[in-house]
Amino acid sequence: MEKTPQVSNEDAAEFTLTADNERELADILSRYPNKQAACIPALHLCQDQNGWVSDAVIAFVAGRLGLSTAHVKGVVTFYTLFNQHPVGQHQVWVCRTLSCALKGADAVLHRCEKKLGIHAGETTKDGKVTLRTAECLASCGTAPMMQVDKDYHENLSLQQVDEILEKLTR
Amino acid sequence: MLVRTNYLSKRYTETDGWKLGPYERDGGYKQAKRALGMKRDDLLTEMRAANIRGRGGAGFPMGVKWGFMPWPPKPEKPHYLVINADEGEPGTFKDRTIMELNPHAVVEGCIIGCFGIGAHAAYIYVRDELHLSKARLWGAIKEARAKGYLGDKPFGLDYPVEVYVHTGAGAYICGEETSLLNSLEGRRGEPRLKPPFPAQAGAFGMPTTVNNLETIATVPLALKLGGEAFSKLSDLHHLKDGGVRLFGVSGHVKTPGVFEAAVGLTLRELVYDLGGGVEHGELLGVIPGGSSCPILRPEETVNAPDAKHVLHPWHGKSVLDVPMGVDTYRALGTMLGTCCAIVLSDKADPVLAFHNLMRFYRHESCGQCTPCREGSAWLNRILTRVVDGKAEMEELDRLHEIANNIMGNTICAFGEGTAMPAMGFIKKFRKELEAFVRPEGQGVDRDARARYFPPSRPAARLATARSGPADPRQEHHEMAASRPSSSQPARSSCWRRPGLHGGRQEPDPRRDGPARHHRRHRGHVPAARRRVPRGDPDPGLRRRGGGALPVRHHAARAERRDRDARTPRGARGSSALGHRPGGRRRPATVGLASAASALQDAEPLRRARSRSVGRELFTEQVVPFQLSGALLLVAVVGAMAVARGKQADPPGAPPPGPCQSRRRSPSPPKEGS
Repeated sequence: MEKTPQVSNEDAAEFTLTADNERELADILSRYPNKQAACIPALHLCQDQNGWVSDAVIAFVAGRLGLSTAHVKGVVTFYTLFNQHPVGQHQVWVCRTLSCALKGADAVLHRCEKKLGIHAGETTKDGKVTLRTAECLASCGTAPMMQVDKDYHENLSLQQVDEILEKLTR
Repeated sequence: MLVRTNYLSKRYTETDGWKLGPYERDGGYKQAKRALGMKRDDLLTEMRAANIRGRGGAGFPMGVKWGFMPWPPKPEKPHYLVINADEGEPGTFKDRTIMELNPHAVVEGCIIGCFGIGAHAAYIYVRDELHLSKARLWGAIKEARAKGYLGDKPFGLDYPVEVYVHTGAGAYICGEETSLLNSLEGRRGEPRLKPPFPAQAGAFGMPTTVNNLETIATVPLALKLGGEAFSKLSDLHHLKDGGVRLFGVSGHVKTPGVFEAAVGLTLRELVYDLGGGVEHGELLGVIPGGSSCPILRPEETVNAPDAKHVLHPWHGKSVLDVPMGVDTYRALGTMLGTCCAIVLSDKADPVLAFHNLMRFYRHESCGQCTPCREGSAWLNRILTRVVDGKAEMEELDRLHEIANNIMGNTICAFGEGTAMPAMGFIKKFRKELEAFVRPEGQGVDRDARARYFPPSRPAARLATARSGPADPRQEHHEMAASRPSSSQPARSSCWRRPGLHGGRQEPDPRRDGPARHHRRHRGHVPAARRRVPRGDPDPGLRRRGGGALPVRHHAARAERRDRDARTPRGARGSSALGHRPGGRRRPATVGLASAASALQDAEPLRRARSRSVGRELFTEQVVPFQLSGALLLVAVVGAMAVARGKQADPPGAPPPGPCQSRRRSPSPPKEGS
């Protein structure tokens, strides 16, 4: 049964997927025995398109999957990878859990902060880069590491950090 | 015994080794085809004989788990196979190598697994951060489907199998099997109560088997070699712990990485032979299998005089020489976990490592069960105080108490995963923890503590390699100096020892936010608001909040202390009552002046208490005055004071001057005090 989604932000523009993403969503839905299971993949899909999970996205996903917005909101707030606020064009995650910390993740984070002029959790003024700290990214053997968007950069030296960030901010 | 093998990791170094071609060249998908032609019972017998212990941490025998599935499957209750590839345990990075470099083994394992448990669909739950792994798995599925190994008629046989990749969204807890199932169903990843076990009601309410990714990738190999032959590759075949597995080693070792070897390898071999030895010094401790396993110290020895004990063959030997097996490690009081060790050299500070891990658990607790949600936060908060040099000795015991209260009181094993390493660290590094509390240090080499860490930061490492030893401190100082705002204190670094950077670290409002900044200072009542200076601190104890006083207050206190020493106890007035060494106020129960002073101090004190960080831990009572009672007391105190004023001073009493100056005037508390 399709429930009427409750949109908390009335002004939010309605969210729609591009044609390609619509096909992708149909593909996702075909994998599961029920619609609810597609919640997380669908949210990922929308976030990839929209940059973050806005109220409009939540309403869209809830409407499509026949869920309440409360359920979708609950899912969004549970998982750390759903951005509940707009973020920069690129996201930089620096792992700081034990193996990386032992190998100098702190220095990598400091260098990022210095280079970008922001602190962890913030976005640069030009809206290009969001810097974040992450808990274990399963790259302990190649520590220290950071993730830039979808790529892992491992065995980092501070020079490499500089180079990577320069590419992003250029 | 170290036996390097090359079954799972054969094509790791090969270009395009992850594609179908190289996999089939090495005999890929032949076992899947064979399995689909076997009888289910034969397959299960083979799998039970292979003694594949779950590679995800719990070490449950895989063949036995498959046997839990209801049989035969009912058409209205389809079975599911779910593969757990939500690899997020700190120190663990083995599954990722399989997904990226040998994904076809996973797909083939899924086909065999589906047949073994009567499922037609397998979901591989991969954490979202591993984009390359997901792409490689999808690629492998696509290749297999194109070849006709998946789909309605795999290998032309009438057993439809589909494999899908499902992604999480960054929650460590989803590595727990029931929360993984919740997450797969599109819910919040909170663990479920067991029973019902997944074999009865798992994914979508249907019978489900959840296997670790490495476990399932091992299945084709076990079938190829034959169950028993596979099991016998292991040194611990007699303990029903068979085959080969991936071992990882990270942290302070010279050659960190993932290595394939037969089960039965010792920790010493893992660290020194595969890991190339300890970097930056001697071995301080090893966390054997992911951060949830209690740490082992090299000086520990096995104590198993009983000939029937699993560990008896290693009685008296170092724990590093015990073969890494599920049962042997359980008997040691730790866990084998995922077999991915984190090595700490003696340059690493175990307290900072402990704090790092507890921050991780605090971050990752899903918040469903109170002991875990609150306990992990408490542990982290107390450790932050310890690291900042603000903790008291009793808080170390509190750490253990909290960890103990988490044990066994939560729905899932995350609670134990938090509490066990915490108790391990507290037990094995008590001295180091105490050294953080007691600045004088007791039995701890202060110079050693002041040694700098980490020397392993890449730039420093490179500099050392090129031009001899460099001072790694420089890097830190440079960074600290080049902070955008020099008025801000240098950010407290997890790896900076308090001794090195001027003792206590200042809280950083930029990082902590105003709330946390405030919380850290709760114990401190500003001097302007404090009507009575707190009692004199015992040098052996840390003062809570007292450290933030300006220097002149300390001088004033010293003066008062001298006076008190000269003054008979009964004649001291307020300072003799309501205080005790260490600055803690006890409920005022005797004396008039103390009643008055307590009255004046009760309200701000209570407020300070109710705000105070970690104070809720302490059982000390809140000063038992309520407003109505207070008014009554004011009257009594006033009357008594009048009466007292009439009395002559007792003989031998000190000159009234200083004493008088300390005595509080018995007036009711002012507004806002």
